[in-house]
Amino acid sequence: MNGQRIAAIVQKDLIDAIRTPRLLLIIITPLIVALFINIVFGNKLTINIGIYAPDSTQIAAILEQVDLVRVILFEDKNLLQSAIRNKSITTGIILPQEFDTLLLSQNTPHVEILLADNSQESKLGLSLFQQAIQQLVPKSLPVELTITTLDSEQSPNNDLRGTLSIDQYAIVLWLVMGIVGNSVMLVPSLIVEERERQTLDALLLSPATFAEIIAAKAAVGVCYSLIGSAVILAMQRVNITQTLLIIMLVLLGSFTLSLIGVMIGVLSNNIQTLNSYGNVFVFILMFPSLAGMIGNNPILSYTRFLPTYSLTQGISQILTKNFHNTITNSIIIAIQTLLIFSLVIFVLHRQRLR
Amino acid sequence: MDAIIEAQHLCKEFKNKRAVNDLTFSIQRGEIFGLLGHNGAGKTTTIRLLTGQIPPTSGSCSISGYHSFTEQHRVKPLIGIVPETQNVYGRMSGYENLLFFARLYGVKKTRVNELLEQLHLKQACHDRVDTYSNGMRQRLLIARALLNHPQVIFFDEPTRGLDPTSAREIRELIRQLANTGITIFLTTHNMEEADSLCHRVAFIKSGSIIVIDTPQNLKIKHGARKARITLANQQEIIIPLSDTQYLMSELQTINNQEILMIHSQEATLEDIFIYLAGKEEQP
Repeated sequence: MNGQRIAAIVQKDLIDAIRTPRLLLIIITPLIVALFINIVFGNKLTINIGIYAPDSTQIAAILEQVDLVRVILFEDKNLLQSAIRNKSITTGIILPQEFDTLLLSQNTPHVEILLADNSQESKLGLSLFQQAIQQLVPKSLPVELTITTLDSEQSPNNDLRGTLSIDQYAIVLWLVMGIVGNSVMLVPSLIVEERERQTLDALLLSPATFAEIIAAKAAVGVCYSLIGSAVILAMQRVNITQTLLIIMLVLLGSFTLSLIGVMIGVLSNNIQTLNSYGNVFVFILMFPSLAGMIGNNPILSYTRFLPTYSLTQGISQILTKNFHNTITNSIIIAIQTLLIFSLVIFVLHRQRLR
Repeated sequence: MDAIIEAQHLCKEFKNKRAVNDLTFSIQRGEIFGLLGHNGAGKTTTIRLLTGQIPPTSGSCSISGYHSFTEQHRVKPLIGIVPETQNVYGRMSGYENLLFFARLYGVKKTRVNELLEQLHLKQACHDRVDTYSNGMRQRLLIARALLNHPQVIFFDEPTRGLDPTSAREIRELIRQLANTGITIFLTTHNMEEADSLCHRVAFIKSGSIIVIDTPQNLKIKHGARKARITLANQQEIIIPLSDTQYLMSELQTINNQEILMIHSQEATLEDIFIYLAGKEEQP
């Protein structure tokens, strides 16, 4: 393998991809969608907190000062419960009579907390309530809490959305969309276009070897995945540590997926065939990241063997700062990379000898 | 003179169809060698075998003593190829195309500028190749083939689809390259072109070489020499010179008519090709 030749092909393809409208569209679609969502909805999360208080309380005023929070006062506990059940409220707070007086007189009032589900928004609502109390009485939590999660049936392993806020889920979705697009559509398109224009023959007659050409095509997919991911993460203002960890995971994941892209490219004779194969692969590979949309579907357990499953889980865990599991997922992706790499080498060798 | 290209009992089969059948020939350094045949006769497959793009089913071929397929890393620096299809990067400029291949060959930028100058592409070198004429693209392909200072250049139908002026330019360029000592392997349909350019030609039919010799020898061996007599009344009579008896009897029939011109008429390479290779095969 000659690095200089690989670099020459990568540089040529990076520029050529931008000049080709079809390929440019593959590269920029996730960025455009992320930008559009950002502009239309902003990147701010709104937490709807419902409060049932028999008499007036300063807690509502304190919570309303928080930028992300919208407080809705309920006069009936049942109405609050049904609002939580239909998830228009993520966190419900049921205060006892004369809550403020009890709090200030250093009695320990009993507060009932209702969480819509296991999502970050619900937990954030609880955390904000605790901070509001400490603003009133600055000592270690002077209340007794009973926490009930109304929709706690979802398994956190299978239900991606359950562990993420909407913003975080959107980041995972755009990142995976970008990586899959660049790897499974862009990389094979580069190979098929070379074959259709017969420039692949010219490349193969140059000192560049088949392995170098293929490595360069995969590298283009990785480069665009990294660039796209960095742009999305910057757009969503993800902190620098998480960004660096996600970028490392994207590097590994996009390499694996680009190898799949190489295989599709080598097996497709023309763009039409590629579009048919490619779309099927995109749909299958996107499936684990769509989990948040389709809920706790048993079919998701069958997607565990896909590289995008570990990638999606890994990115989610970095965003929720669950770094221990991220390492496990990175190891799974590395093992998958080795397996796919061996399979690709086998397929390419057979194709070359034809 | 030593042989630079050698083929020994070279065969290639595709899905039980034999595209190239038992080719044995050698080409000397500095020679312009033409491989002539109908469409589908096996010309392009032969080039692909000689340049190591595909492995032979049996037999062997070598460039400068290196096996074309198994020693590709040694063969590639020795050869250049101008393919039948104009396989250039259309969205890139001529300069970018050459620069890209120069980087693959590890050739300096100065060589790119030198070739752009030599092939009269300097002025349009920053335009997209999509906007080039056929002739310009063909010159760009030749420039690309020359980047690595090859010892052998393979031309696959180099003037196909070109206007007469561009075709003449390309032929002149091939002559110039041959004068610098580069071996030229040429495939063409154009018999006149082969006749004027090639030191030797081979006729290929259904994958097999049916004859290989200089154009002159082929004409002498296989062509009937004739005399073309034009009479004052514009009547033309063509008489084969090989048959003296027939010649004398024909001359007597002219009787007292005034003869305007007598020309000797040689067989063309095309005549020989049609005589030996017959008409184009139907698929």
